[in-house]
Amino acid sequence: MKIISIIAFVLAFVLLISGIYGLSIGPLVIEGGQQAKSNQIGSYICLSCVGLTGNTVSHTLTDDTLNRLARIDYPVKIWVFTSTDCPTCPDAKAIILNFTVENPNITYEEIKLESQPQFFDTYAVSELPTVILFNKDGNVLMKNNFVYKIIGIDNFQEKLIEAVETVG
Amino acid sequence: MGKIKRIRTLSQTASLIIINLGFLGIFFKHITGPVFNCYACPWASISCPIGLLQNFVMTGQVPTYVLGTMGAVFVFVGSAFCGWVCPFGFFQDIIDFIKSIFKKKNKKQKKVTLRSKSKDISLITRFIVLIATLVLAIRFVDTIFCKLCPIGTIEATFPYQLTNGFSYNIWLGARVVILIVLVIMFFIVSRFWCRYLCPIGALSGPSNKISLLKLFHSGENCGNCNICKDVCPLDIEVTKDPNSTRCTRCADCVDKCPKGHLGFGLDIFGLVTPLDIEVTKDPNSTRCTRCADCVDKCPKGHLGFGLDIFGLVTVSPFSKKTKKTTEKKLVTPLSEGIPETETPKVEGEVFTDEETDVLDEFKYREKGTLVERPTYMGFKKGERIYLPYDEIKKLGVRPPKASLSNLLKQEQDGTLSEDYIDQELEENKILEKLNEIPKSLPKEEMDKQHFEKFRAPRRTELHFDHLRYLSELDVPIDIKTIANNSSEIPAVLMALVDASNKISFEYINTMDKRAGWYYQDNLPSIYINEKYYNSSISEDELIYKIKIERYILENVSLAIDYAKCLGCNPQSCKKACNIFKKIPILEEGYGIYPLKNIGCNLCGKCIVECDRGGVSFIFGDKLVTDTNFSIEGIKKNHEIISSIYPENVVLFLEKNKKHSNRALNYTVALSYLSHGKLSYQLVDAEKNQEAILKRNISAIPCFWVSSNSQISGMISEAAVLAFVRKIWKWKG
Repeated sequence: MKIISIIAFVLAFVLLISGIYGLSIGPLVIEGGQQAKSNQIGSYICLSCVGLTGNTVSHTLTDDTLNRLARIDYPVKIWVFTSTDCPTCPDAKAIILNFTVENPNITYEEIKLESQPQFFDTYAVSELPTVILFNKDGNVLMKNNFVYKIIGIDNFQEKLIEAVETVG
Repeated sequence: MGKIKRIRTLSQTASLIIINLGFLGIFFKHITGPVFNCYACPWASISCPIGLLQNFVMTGQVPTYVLGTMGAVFVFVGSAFCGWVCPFGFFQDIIDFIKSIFKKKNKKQKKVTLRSKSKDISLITRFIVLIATLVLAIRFVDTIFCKLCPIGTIEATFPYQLTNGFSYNIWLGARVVILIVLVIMFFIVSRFWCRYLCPIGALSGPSNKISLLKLFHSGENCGNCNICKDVCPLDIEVTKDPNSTRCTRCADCVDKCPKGHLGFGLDIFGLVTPLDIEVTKDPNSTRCTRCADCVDKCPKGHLGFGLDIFGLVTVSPFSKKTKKTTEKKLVTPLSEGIPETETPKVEGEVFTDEETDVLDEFKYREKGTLVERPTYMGFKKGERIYLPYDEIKKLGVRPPKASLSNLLKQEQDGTLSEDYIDQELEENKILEKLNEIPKSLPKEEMDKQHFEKFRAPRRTELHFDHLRYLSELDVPIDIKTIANNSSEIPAVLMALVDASNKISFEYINTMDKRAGWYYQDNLPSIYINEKYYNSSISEDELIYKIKIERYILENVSLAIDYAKCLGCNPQSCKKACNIFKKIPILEEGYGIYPLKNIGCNLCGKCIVECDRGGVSFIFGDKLVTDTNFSIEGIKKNHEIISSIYPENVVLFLEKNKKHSNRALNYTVALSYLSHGKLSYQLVDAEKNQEAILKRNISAIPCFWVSSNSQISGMISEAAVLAFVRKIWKWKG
């Protein structure tokens, strides 16, 4: 039993140090080690990964959305926060793309976690996908002194068109 | 709630706040701990190890960082995080707490006892969950476990649904159903998740065996009270396997152990053990920390610190001054109150002076006058005709002792006794009936056949003194008769039963299932207060037996040592007896309930059913405690005891004496285990000096059967068992 204890001690600390200093084992090597990776995984919650939002969403816009979209005559800028390993972010992106196709007043920009992490901290985004909106002056849309955020993929169209209308 | 449990609850609350510091904007999500806390919670400040494991496995990496973090914790403290930090463990503890309140309110004693009859599969099921989690993550490249995780439902789904509006998908339905099922299981089995399902527990469980922190049990002098097992939320047999793979290191057993035999200590490769010093052998041990706990706990004040200046040893300043007996808390029915019974006056006034009556008769009986009286010929089985009480009261007569022919002779001679007041009224009837008898019959036959007819209306009239005694009877007497049919019940008995409201009577047919418990060699067998009645079926003898029972019920009290009830989950006393359901179980002190007040008839079932020795009976009115009282030896030999032949025992006891109480308790236990065949009688030795001298009794208490077989002095369990073996061989 004593020998097993010693082996366990050694093994545990070897694993811990190798995890922190990036001596990771496997086909994919991440710079900075698994600790940095775990920080990334932990900080930004993939909502569909934990089953909070649905996996399959239709990208086509409903008639109601199209009617409401046609009335928009002021410029709206949409920021969508995504990540490469986020399963539902492409769905959100596709719907926003459809919006921009229908109404040229609407433009969008994609903020990737891997390339522009500083914006995540600026707007306190911790869930993926998240959408925020700007008006023509470049001011972010607020609601009750908080940044108006659309979180998750559930009822995404309805939430987004409502937000776009409130920008005006 | 014990001291350690209070600290643990504080620790769990504090850690629940620390690992959910997100509301202050503090995140350290690169840190993971071996606790079950969903990282998707909007306030979660650390990440979930199972989520990370799945993630690294999905990307095809060996999760060295997660395993290393968990391993570093496990090698030091084992699974202590499960009991002291884990929020999901806290959730289950809260449910246990709610359950305990619910239990107290409804007085339910149900506990699902998962005894170790079958093999312990808990570790295997936990490993299955862990492996299934990883395999599903690799196969579907998705975090399937997280989508079904119950703590995620509590910490992430409900807040998300509240803030972002309700939305439904198939995973949501599944996880809510799983959570509901689990919560129901938590109410049935405490710590169900930790026990069977937790994937972190699969890794932390085995680490209990190798970690530095270990639970130690000093096996000597452990009374096998099993409090540790009853208290343990995971039903571990702590004394056998202190470092079980199921253990969450919650330290509830350490908290509740009455003798302090359990404790946590560091096991640095066998070098350091906990401070388990044998103080009496080595008071100045090198490991001693001078905590003075032993000085504090020593009941006799034999330990103490002092200065040793070159042999000039000073006296300990910590010597015991107060006796512990003064601290005893007496809980009487006056302060607590039992429903449905009147609370009596305490301090000795409870007991009436009825004892002298019985004991006078006892002396009287010694002279042999009552014993020599003939039993009633007329009481043939099957006749149940008797006069109502009011009529008997008017007449005040008792039935004839002699046969009819003698009576007639006496009447002709004019020497009929004065008892037969109404003889003149009956005379004509008797003569009429005599004429009906055919003359060809011989005289003896005539007596046999027709005696009953003549005596029928008068046969079961009781003596006026007896009737008065029975009508004034104020203690419950329980009489049971086992017979082949109801007509076999002795008529005297029925008359006795009808004369008093306090006597409850029950007839049990031999075909009845219940009859198997009772002695059936001599039918009909009569049980008075669950004790077999071994004398002749006559009015005087039965009344004498009832007086004996009354004396017992008025002078014996039920004593409960509530300290031994601590953490008793089975509560077998309440299952055994309805009276115990009325008695409140307190946390400390002693309860004394005079049997008369609680309506007990001293069948002795409770004393046998209680595994902890908390229930005992005391003779007298003062609290005389007996800490080392145990009837384990008697319980072990219950098979021999149950097959003895009926025997009467006279117990000569002194009131308010420890050894007298012990002898009484042994006898009560023997009486119950022998199915009432061992019936007993209490005699107060102080007031019956003559009887003692007559019987050559050397010491009190005395367990007297005959002058050849008596156990006097300090009656031990072994002596009582030796006696039982002796009477077992007599006829068996």
